[in-house]
Amino acid sequence: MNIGCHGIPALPPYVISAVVYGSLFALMSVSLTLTYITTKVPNFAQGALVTAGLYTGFALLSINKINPYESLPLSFLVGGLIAIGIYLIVLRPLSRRGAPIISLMIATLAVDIIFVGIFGIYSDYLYQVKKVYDAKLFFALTTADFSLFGVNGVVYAAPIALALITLSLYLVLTKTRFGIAMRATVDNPNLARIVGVNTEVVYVTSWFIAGGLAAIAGVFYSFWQGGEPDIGSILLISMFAGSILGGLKSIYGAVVGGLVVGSSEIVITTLGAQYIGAWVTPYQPGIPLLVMVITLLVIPGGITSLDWRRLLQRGKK
Amino acid sequence: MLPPLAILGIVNWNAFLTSLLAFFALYLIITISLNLEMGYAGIPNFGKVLYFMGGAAFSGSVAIRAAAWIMHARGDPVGLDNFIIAANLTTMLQSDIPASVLLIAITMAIGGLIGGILGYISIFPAIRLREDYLAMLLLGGAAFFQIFLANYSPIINGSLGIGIPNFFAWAGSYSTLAATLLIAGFALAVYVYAERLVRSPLGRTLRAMRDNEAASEALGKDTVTIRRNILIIASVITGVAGALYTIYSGDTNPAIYDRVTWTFWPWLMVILGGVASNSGVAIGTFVFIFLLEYIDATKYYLQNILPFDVTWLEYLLFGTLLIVVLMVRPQGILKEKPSATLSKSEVSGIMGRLRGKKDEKPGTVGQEDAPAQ
Repeated sequence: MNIGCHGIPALPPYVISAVVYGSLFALMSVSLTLTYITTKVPNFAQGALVTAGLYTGFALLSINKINPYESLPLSFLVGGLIAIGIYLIVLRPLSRRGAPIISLMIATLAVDIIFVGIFGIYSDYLYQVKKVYDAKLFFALTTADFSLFGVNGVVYAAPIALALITLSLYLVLTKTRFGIAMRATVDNPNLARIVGVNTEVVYVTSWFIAGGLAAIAGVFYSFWQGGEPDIGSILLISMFAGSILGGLKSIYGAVVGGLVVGSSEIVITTLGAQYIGAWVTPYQPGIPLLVMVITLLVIPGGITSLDWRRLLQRGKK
Repeated sequence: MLPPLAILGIVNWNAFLTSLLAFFALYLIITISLNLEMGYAGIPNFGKVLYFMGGAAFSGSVAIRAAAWIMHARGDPVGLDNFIIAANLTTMLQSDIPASVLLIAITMAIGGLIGGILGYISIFPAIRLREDYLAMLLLGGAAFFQIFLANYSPIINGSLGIGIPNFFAWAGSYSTLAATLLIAGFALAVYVYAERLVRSPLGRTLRAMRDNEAASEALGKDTVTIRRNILIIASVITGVAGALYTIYSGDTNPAIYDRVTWTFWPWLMVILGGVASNSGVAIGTFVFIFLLEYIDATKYYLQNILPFDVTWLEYLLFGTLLIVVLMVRPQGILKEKPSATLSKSEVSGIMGRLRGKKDEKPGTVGQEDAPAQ
């Protein structure tokens, strides 16, 4: 990547990478937080939604020759429908039977295992029947991306998508009747039902949006890094770290948490490899775990639980 | 010549039954310890693979080093020559039964020790965090530990893994059977221990703590200490299971320790059999292992027809099975039974003894009457 000669200030490549990663994990953390605030269960199948989006983009590109940017709405739809399926088929019947939270968690883990099987079968099918020989470990999307000022399109697309999505979620949540109904449902579902909010519609819509966001984060991820059938479980810890840092209650907290986790993974690993030694690089997945541990030790409620005004005043004194 | 007769699709019944026993016993150790944590003490341990992986990898690493030291073998036992050294050590140990037994004991002890250390570390989140945060942290911790093993070569040569000598080489062609019997013996001991533990006053305290923590604290039970002890005991047991698996399989490799095989499957067995019921868990483990082994032994019939790896069907089948069990029979095959009480004859026997003592020394009766816990 030769950036300096195109008029853009020469940024070190890892800064660009940090921005892309941060935006992607912010999208995934928003998606995870959306499912958590509605059903109050950490969804361990979130990685499956990311993988679903990624394979939709990949299959349409390698079989039908459709550019993944054009098939982005379809990826969103696939992720969203799978998420609705998880909610309606697995989580809602279980919680109606009064299943404890541990049962719901293990059920989402079971869903994730089922999808590991489904993506395994699908990638085998692409490989053996459709003769797509890189179905098990592909970088096709990285090469299908457009290029602008010497950098890949996803460098612009991912942060712009994050900004647009955050803005539209903000507008929906504060300016529309549906958003107000949704916030009421999250705060107190019983009270919301009493005043006439159809909480089921709210839940299903939240899961649909969450699934869609995870899926497009998956497409963007494979523009940058390529993909494989079990990519979801690798990304899962980072998603959780971003959401926990954001407090697991607030969508804006998740945006900040995801940005911090994603970008710190890249920055710390790159600088660590430069100043400590190249052996640091494989331990990148330890950074989200570290973020998780530090957050739970220092600010268990996440950054949104902090009273920033008081902190600033204390700083001035 | 006729092809070997395949009864019910299985060609080699001896190998099938040995493998069935080995994996049933191995998983029974893990599920009984998971049931102690999850069923009785109320700690949802989503990082079960962590203790197993730690026990298996570190015990393998120490086992081959110890064997090389005892047998004066040259070279780096966990380096590039590992498989040659392991093979040479197997030949040397063939005629040295005492050294083999000593090495088995060392391997199991190291497995338990590492399991215990990892269990001790997990106490800190386990007694502080809510179950959903704990699950995320343990799941993440286990994944990172696997990455650590795959990249830090001094332990098991990174992602290449190491082979360890066969400590049952002296048993000749029965070496697999001998290793299987060792696992089965340990599993039996763990089962008896767990069954005695849950019938003891401590077992009743555990259930009280799980069902109503505030009430049991009000009755003077130290829930933090009890929960800590159970977590450490269960982790030591799982660590030993890891060591036994390393002895059985003869090698250790970070890729073996995935969360599906060593966290999810044990959870499925416990939920299938019945949470907080040791006999139920044993049944659940057997049913699951039988299905898994039977599919593994017969899947090559399907493999030629299907355009994908049959293993994926196991994921679909067992994932669906867990959700169905949670929906249709959340209590599992065997329900949790109320605490076992003494039979009427035993109670009257004790009463009779007490009455007898009362006549002799009235002063000591107060101590005898005090509840044990």
